[in-house]
Amino acid sequence: MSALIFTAFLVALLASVVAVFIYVLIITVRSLWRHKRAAGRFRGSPSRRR
Amino acid sequence: MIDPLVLLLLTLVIVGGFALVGILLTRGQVRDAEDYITARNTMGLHVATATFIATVMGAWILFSPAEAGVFFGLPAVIGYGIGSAIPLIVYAFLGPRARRLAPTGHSVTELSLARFGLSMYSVVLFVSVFYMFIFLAAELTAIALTFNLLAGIPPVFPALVLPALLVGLATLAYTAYGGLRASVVTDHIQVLVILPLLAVAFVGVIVALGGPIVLFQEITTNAPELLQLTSLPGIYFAIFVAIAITGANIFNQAYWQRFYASRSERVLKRGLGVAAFAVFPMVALAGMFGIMAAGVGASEVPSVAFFSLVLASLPIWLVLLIYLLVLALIMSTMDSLLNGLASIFTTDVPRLGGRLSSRNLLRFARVITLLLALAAIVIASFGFSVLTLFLVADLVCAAAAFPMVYGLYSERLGGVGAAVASIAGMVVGTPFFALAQAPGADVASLYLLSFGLAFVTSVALTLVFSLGRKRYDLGILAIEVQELGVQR
Repeated sequence: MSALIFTAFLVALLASVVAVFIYVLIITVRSLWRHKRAAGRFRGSPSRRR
Repeated sequence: MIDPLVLLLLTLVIVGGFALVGILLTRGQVRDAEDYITARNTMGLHVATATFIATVMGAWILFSPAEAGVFFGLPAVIGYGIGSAIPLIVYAFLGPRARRLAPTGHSVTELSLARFGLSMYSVVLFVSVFYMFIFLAAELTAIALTFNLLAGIPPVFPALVLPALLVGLATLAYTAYGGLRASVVTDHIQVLVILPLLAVAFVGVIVALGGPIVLFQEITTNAPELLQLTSLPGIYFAIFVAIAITGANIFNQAYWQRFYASRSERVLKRGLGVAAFAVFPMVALAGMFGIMAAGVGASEVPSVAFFSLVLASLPIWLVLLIYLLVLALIMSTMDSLLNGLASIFTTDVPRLGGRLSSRNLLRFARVITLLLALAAIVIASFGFSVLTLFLVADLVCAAAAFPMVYGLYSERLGGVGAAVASIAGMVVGTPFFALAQAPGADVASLYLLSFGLAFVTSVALTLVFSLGRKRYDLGILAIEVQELGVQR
């Protein structure tokens, strides 16, 4: 194994972990955003105001 | 070394914070035992993905993969990563199958009782509870030992009590209150803490040691065999660990609960798929700490190679961040195990004839959670080496896994046949396991023989016992397995 392959392996592992973190973060924020919008719609709905 | 008082205070703040979040976010959501142990069809994709990652990742990833790296090098590290991902891939098929066969199910023991009867149920109950309890005790032991290592206190009885007690009680507080929902909610936050901190520790150590090129030169000078991909002991270890982890995880009730908590089959499959993709780099990355530690001569005690490297190379503020990583890892696994174990007992009480009202069943579940946590804290306070017990648990799981899973696909496998196949696998694997404990033994080959033979024997006997004419109608499972309080 060469130093280059070793470095590439370390970088690939790190990049995968970071990619998973970003993925989990994005789907979490998207979900929270949807919840917030749904709650907003509910609060402002005519049935609620009545 | 860090001042023990500072470390204790930090522990209190972190575990208290997680407990508070768990309690606040699940306030008023647990009405009965069904809510407490199942939270049926409530998890969306983001929650499912996070909770599956958190359930797999315990503090063990900072100990075992690094130790494997020190002893067996790169093939073992890659094998450990693949082995940790395989159960999630298996579950991506098994989970939806379980949901279809028993839409109102709760636990693996419950399915085994309905599918096989008392004989195989006894095997599955013993294997599940044994494995999960050892796992629980090992996680708490890990925090007690880590605390003492960072504070420079000898890891003996009285000094181990406090960290184990703090973490144990905080996890118990939100798990006993919010059940599975609290476990899942905190898993989500813990994963968002674990992933970046693992990356930060990795980058921090590599930079502190001079960068990847310097590290490569150190490893090729001091331990060149660790970078050989064709090293046979490393390959043997990789195969053995894949069998051990897959077998053991089949009996981890925390996953079965999450099958039913997922909103749909699609969410379940995608959540498990992403978790499988996430687990491989996380475990392999953790294992690389062992190889790096061996390269720079920081692996005198291989099981704590990760911490030796971190303590030797990182500034104190970064070490404290790593401590947060350890706590998040432990709590994310411990809450899942506590609630999983409680769910086994809670589900089985009514099925085995105990008559409790819905409210009393919830009370029973909480008391069981409390007792299990206290027992685990007591064991952790003594700092026993739980590694051998862990491997024993893995061996019995490896022998019982195939019959259990096959029975959910084949209508011809009977309960007695499944139990005999499981026990025969355990018996065949035990002598080689015992030989591996001898000093100077060829551990990788003997463990591979032990786990490989246990698995192959149980597979062969399961297939032989499935040749009979008697059939079991799998459609009956949906009728036999009912929600709690709707027993037949």
